[in-house]
Amino acid sequence: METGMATDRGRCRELNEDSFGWKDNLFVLADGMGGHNAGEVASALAVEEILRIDPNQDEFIPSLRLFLNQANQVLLDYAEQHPECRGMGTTIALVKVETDKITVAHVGDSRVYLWRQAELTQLTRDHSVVEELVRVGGLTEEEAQNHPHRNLLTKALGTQGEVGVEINEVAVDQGDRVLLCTDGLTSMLGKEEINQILSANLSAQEIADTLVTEANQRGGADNITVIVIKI
Amino acid sequence: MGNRYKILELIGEGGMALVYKAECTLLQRIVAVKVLRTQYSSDKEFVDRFRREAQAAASLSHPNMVNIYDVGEEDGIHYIVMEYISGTTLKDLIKKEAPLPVNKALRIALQIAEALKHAHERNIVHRDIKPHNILLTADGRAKVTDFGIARAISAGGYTQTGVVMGSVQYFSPEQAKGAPVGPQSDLYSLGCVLYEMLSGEVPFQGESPISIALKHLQEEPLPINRFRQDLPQSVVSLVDRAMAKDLGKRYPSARVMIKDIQAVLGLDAQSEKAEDYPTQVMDSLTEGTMTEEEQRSGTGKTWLVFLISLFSACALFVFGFIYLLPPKQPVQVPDLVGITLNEAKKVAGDYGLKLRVVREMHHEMQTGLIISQDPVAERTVRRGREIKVVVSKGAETVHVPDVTGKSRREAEIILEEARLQLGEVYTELSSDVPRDRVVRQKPAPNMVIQKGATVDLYLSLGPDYDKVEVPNFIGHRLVNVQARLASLGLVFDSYELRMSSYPEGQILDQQPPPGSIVPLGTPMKFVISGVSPEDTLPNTGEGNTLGLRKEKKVNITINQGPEDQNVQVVLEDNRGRQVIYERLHHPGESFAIDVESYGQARIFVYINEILSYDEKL
Repeated sequence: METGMATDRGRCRELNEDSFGWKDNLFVLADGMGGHNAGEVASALAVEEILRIDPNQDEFIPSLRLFLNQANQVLLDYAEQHPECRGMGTTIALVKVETDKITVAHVGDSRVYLWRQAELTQLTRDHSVVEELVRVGGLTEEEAQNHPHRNLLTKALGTQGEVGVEINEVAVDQGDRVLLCTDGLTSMLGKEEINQILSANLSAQEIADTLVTEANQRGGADNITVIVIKI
Repeated sequence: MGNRYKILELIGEGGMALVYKAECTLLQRIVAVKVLRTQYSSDKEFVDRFRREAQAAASLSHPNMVNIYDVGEEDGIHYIVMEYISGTTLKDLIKKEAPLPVNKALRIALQIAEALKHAHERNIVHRDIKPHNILLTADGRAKVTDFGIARAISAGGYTQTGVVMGSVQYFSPEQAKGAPVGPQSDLYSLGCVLYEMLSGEVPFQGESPISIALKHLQEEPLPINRFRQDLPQSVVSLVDRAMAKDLGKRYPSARVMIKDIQAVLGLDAQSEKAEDYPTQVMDSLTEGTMTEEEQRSGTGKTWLVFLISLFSACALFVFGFIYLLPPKQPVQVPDLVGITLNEAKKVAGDYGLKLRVVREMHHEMQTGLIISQDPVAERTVRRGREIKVVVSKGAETVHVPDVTGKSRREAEIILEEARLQLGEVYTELSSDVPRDRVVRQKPAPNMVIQKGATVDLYLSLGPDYDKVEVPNFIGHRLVNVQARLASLGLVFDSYELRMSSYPEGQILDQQPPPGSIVPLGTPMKFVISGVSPEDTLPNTGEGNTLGLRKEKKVNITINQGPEDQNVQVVLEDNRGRQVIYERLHHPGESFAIDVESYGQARIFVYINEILSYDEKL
């Protein structure tokens, strides 16, 4: 396994409110939201909470569900104690990598992609209003890409009492590549462009750097965080 | 081992030594321990040479070397403790992937050359540069290992068939001949390594070490461009010059070879030096090549932009104005800082200027945006002039280590090694973490944050939090103690002055006394040394109750080990116990301290809070 990671505040934002981290074979990133630096606090709290999990335990998925709900509670409690952080929340996307499969979980519009032999598959479905519209057939992918309300989330950590989390296991092969990213990447680069960069004969770190550079090249409207894992 | 290294597993076996993965219990880090095989351990002359060479190599420290931390011996077992690298060897990479892309091969060669330059400048020749001795870390950095070890072996007259067969393929002609070996021999070997990376073949093949050695002496290798079409002439000449049999034709030094490699890669020597980690060098190179591609594919786009801009009268004017200028006309350099490279290329093109791109890590400027330019904006230059632009590769990030359960000092060392800084230190109640140990940290372990960022620590007040043991503050300076009191769960109350021969501000007495168990928040009173105009106290002949005055020099040498070693010297005599010296030192330093004592006296030398020496005076 080879990994590459990069984060950048982009060209329009003052702060980088994304957070990320990893522990053994578990990779997590989060895109915080909220005024002042509450977004930064939210994403960091969530990632920190998830990184407490022992990724190698037998009961990983039930435990992950528990930790995600715990992270949600930590955010709610924090906002309760810090009035300036009211209304903060965060997305989260995480991947646990094993030799033959990955476990994927997410809340919000941070995404996980699987790249296999020049083909890119999105493993997560955004919890966003626009994505719901696409799902019911009201919008095309292209319309969704430029939709003014594509940042409107239907789910996030720290915004409601209970979070329904989607956790999936996906089989992988040697040579596959996994991408975790915040929407600062996907709002700037289309799927085909991301696929091209992931297909390049570069190290995982070089791919991560190139993705961020390209997103900034296109305007860098939001914070950009990417984790690239070559399996 | 050495009371400090816990062996975890065997990770490698060589002709001369076994390599283990081990844990350094003092610093809680993983290290590699190379243990000399017993057949060599019994040969005293060899062992001495081995230690000498290893110690010389230990004096080297470079990001492209596997750094040596410690050289030691226990029960007749000789060992070297070095940096643990999880990764592969260059040999593995060559086996799997050769021929390597030109840039990749040159990037690796450049890093090896940097390590050689560092060693050669300190008069250490490697003598056994080969792909097996180059480790590649997970993040792509090349690290040269086994400096100086080859010399110890060859001087010992040991023959090791397997090893020699591996090495002879990279032997310089002078090594093959048995002539004196110098820095240039390493450059020849590096040339062979580069040859192999580019072609996938060692330069000379043969059935026996002898036949290969003969070829190094007499034959020219197959020209490297026979293997592949994509090699620029500059790369071919570089390999040829490194592998020249004649020392006069070979690169005279690693420095010159580095310059050539950088030139081929289109790197600027100056900006390379500014980068402190070679990984960055590697990244910058790949990106550099991509940029060229971008540039080529980008021309079409630029033209499209021009066609569009033709619709605008203003743009038409600019176009006409600039492009109708004859070449070599002076133009004012535009401001390129803060825009992306593609944008800058367009602007520079409009002005008839060229760009040369260098990439660097930068903690402020966003990835892909230009940090600085040379010449700067508004300078007047001729058209066609090259503008050097430094493009940000984003901030360098690091993985936050777990320091929970550690002491403040240990945590500080671990953070420093992770290239982070100690931030605020708070205390808090904890029912299960021992006193003064880290209960939690902010940011938490395993987060990825900017290099150089701070990590705040929360130290435990101890499970017995309602009571604390009063430490001994006598001999310490009041200002330092005051800062510590809160974290110990004590409160500063007051002090009174007393004239004494001790430095002003030093604590002479305390209330409650050391060792008392008191409730949390107990106020502390101190007696501290006031100004003492003429050191009258010790020198009064009459009524002098201090005892015999003695002077002594104590010599201290700092052993190999952590980069920062806190040396504290404590004197106990008839005047009490006092810290007479405290400073950070580094391995290899040697210094003397003058000690003045009265009556029965003993000194204690603590290094990183561990008693390493004591003596009765």
